[in-house]
Amino acid sequence: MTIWRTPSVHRPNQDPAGQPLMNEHHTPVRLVERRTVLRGVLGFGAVTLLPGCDISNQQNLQTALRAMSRWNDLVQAWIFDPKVLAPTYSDADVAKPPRYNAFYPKDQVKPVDGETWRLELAGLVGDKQSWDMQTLYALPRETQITRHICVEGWDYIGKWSGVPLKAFLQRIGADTRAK
Amino acid sequence: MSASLERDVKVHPPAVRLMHWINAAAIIIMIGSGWHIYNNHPIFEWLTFPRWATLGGDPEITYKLNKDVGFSNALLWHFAAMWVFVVNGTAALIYGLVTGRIRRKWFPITPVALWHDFRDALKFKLSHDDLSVYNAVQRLSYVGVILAALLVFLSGLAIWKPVQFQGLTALFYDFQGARLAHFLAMAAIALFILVHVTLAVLVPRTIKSMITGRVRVKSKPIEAMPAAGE
Repeated sequence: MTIWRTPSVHRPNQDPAGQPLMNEHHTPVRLVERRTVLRGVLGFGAVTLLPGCDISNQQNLQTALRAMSRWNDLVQAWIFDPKVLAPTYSDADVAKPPRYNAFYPKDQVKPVDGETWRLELAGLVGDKQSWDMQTLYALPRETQITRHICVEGWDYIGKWSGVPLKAFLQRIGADTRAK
Repeated sequence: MSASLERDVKVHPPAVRLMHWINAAAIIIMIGSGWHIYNNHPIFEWLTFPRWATLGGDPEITYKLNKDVGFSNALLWHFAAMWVFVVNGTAALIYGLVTGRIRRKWFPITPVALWHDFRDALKFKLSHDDLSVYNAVQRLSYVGVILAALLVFLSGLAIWKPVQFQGLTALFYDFQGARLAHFLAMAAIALFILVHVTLAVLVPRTIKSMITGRVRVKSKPIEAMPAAGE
């Protein structure tokens, strides 16, 4: 019996080929059954009459929560040490296939046409010329194998490649002090 | 002797009562929102928490709006109440250590006393005559829940900033290990709350005393308590 999901992996119990993807996005449907099945379990939310739908949507409350969130941003910026980077792993650790993550199923993914795709630039940048795929790919690229940890609670080790944003921003003469 | 053999004894100083109820509110918010976050990606396939027991955005509304099942709102709750929990908990620990209240009220815990009080508890024979003195089972559970709170704090830090605190995360094996530790510590705290609240309801004087700070005792005057922190 699977008591505890295989640690630190993508979702192995999910068929990479077009299965109804991430089950968390089906939660609203499953909630209905849960409500009947699990009635009777002691509820901390219920004890204080805090079920989110009632008070969580109130404006003052949301304002207060947002204020705390901004405070957390400050603390996180203070904690962040640019010298402490995510640990890197070996090729053998890379989860295969990579975890599919989106709020739409795989068959609704719209493929990108590499020929016509353009990156338009605007804002505080020196060179606002648009970029096509070839020019972008011609820039020096980096590869890293790091663990992607989602705030939702899942994680997996992936191999990520691409043009470092910093290099790109320097190339287009972006004002990196801009917020 | 005068007719009045009853008298009020101070059992909980104002600071203790205040911190107790702040902690109660914080922990309820933490567990309620934590269960909502957990539901989004359950550790155990067979365990999800019922919607009414959780705290966070309404799944139906938020799903329609932005394909989120109220999870991000639960995160806001969790990351807001964590400050109340940690700041209040730290203050309580410092208070308990500095005043000596923890040492005096919770220690010593001897195996003999534990065995004795545990048997009495099973037979519902524990004495509640003097609410200012905790029995050995109580002492052990208070110390235990403090340890669980420390574990929930440390594993929570490891989950919150798994890269910046990667040494701490490694102590729990990895990110999922920290999640599991966080869950188990929560379970220990929830179990404590269940027992704690049940027993308090069975002996309602304890609830009154945590509000007023006093309890009426029907016995010979108790010797003066040590002044500090009482």
